[in-house]
Amino acid sequence: MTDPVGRLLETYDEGLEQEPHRPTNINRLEQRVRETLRERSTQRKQTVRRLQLGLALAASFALISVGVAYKLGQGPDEETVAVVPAGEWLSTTTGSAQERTFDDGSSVRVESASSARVQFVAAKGGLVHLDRGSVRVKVKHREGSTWRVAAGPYEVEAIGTEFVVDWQAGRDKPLRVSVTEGTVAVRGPAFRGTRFVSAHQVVEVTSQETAGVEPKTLSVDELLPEAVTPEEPGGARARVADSAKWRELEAAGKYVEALKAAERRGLSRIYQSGSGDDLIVLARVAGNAKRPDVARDALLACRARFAGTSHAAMAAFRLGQSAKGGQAAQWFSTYLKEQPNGGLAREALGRLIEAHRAAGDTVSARAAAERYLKSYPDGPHATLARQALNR
Amino acid sequence: MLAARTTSPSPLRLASAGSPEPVSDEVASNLATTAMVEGLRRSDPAVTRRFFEMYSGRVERTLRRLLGPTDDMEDLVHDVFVDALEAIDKLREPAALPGWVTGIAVITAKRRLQKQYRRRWLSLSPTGYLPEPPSTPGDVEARAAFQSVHQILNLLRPEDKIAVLLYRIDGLTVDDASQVMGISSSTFKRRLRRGERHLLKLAKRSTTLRIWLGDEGRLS
Repeated sequence: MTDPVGRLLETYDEGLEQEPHRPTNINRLEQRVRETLRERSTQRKQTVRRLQLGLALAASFALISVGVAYKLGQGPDEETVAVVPAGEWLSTTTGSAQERTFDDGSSVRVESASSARVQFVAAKGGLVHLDRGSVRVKVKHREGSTWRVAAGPYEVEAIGTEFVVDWQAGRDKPLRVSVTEGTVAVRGPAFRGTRFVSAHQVVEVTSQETAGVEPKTLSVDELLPEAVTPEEPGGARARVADSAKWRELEAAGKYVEALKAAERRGLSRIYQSGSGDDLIVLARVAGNAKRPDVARDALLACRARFAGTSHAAMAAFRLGQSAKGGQAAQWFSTYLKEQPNGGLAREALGRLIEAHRAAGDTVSARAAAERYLKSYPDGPHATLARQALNR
Repeated sequence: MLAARTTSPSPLRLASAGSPEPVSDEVASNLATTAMVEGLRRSDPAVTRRFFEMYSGRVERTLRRLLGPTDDMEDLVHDVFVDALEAIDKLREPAALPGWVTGIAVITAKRRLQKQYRRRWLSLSPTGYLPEPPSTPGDVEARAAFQSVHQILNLLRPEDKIAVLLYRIDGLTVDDASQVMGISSSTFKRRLRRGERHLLKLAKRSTTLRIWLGDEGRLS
């Protein structure tokens, strides 16, 4: 034997052959292998489920984290309460804010480092006494109620829907009013009469304009619509001249061009200096030019500036025409209250029946129907009135 | 040194190292193997059963030669089939199924050998020499010689032992053996030479093997 390794391995191979061993049992082997494969498959599925669960939890955690981070990034925490006690003082420190929502759907947000007192009467509206800082007011307009912010000697009345009043007595420009949506009327020593501020406009008042004037304190009783101070007459001739162009275009039936001309002149100027007739016509122009926002602002300005006049009543009727359901009913009721024998009284009463029915208020609809049939038994809404009374 | 193979054909040799078969038979065999792989991938019960019947002997022989007598042979064969059936979709060439299954058996054996190799210090004698089994004549001597070689083989590095056994006993070519082990031919040759040198060195220390071979010089 010349190959010692070969000899050793031959010894090993022969010895291995002599070693007793049991041949593999195929049936048992197959059964065991199948069971193992099943177990491993189940384990893999469980692992996948656990992984999916883990991923889902991780994703949820990430979403929550992002949400928390976003919330934190939004700045001050807010507290929203359904109803606020009357006369409550709301004070916020730096980095915090408070928001209150009221029964009429309006809300007041007292921004960081501010102090304000809110008086609210559901039927009349709200009055915010801004001592310092900034408040953001979102008004849900309802007929017969109004929202005002009293800041030092100034008063900001909400005609539109959203605005911010910032008041710091010791600042160079103590008052700053910015309007996000709609129109507000600002009154005070720096203005002759009322200054209207429309959406995306800002008005600031310097300390010189404010000096020497004692702050005016308003009470909640002053919130009645009748308390709105009508503009003092004056400069009517100049206003007529200013408005001539867009009025001429309106008279020619060129409503879009008329509205553009009015915008070039400045809608806010018309709101604050136009006559009652200008505002009613501007609303008609805007309605025909498919600009309901301008129409509404013009009518609200008319009601704010010419309260108690036929123009204000007309504005209420027009507002009822563009509103729906309960809100429309409120505006028609306002017209009938202000002009019970006006030229539009019959139409307003008929539309009041329609509005109550649309709002599902059958009791009010029946009351309006009885009133209508009593005054106008042969009027155009007589059939509708009888239907409302099931006659 | 790549020594000559054992002269007498071993009954344990793998078919892949055998003489070439007619082309038609080879083609038919490949088709049958391919069909078996497809059946295994479909989890066809009949094909799977056939797979066990055809390959269990091959797997057991490979494990037995690489590991020697062991009590858990059934578990090891089981492990090879589980691994094979789980990985059947990864087999690129269905015709290579026989060598692929042998490769899985080699990997399974290697894992076991590595585990034993890491624990070898627990069974070593204080001197480092192999304990001598009682020397008795006849079959007893042959058995003692076998046990000595078996013990020596277990002292080799697992990869060296596998290389030596695949080439020397299973009769695989260098290319086939290196492919089954998943290494290059040169690496295989290196391991083979190292294993043979180590085997011879340890065998020279064994009195039993010197007596069994009848002449110390025959181990030189």
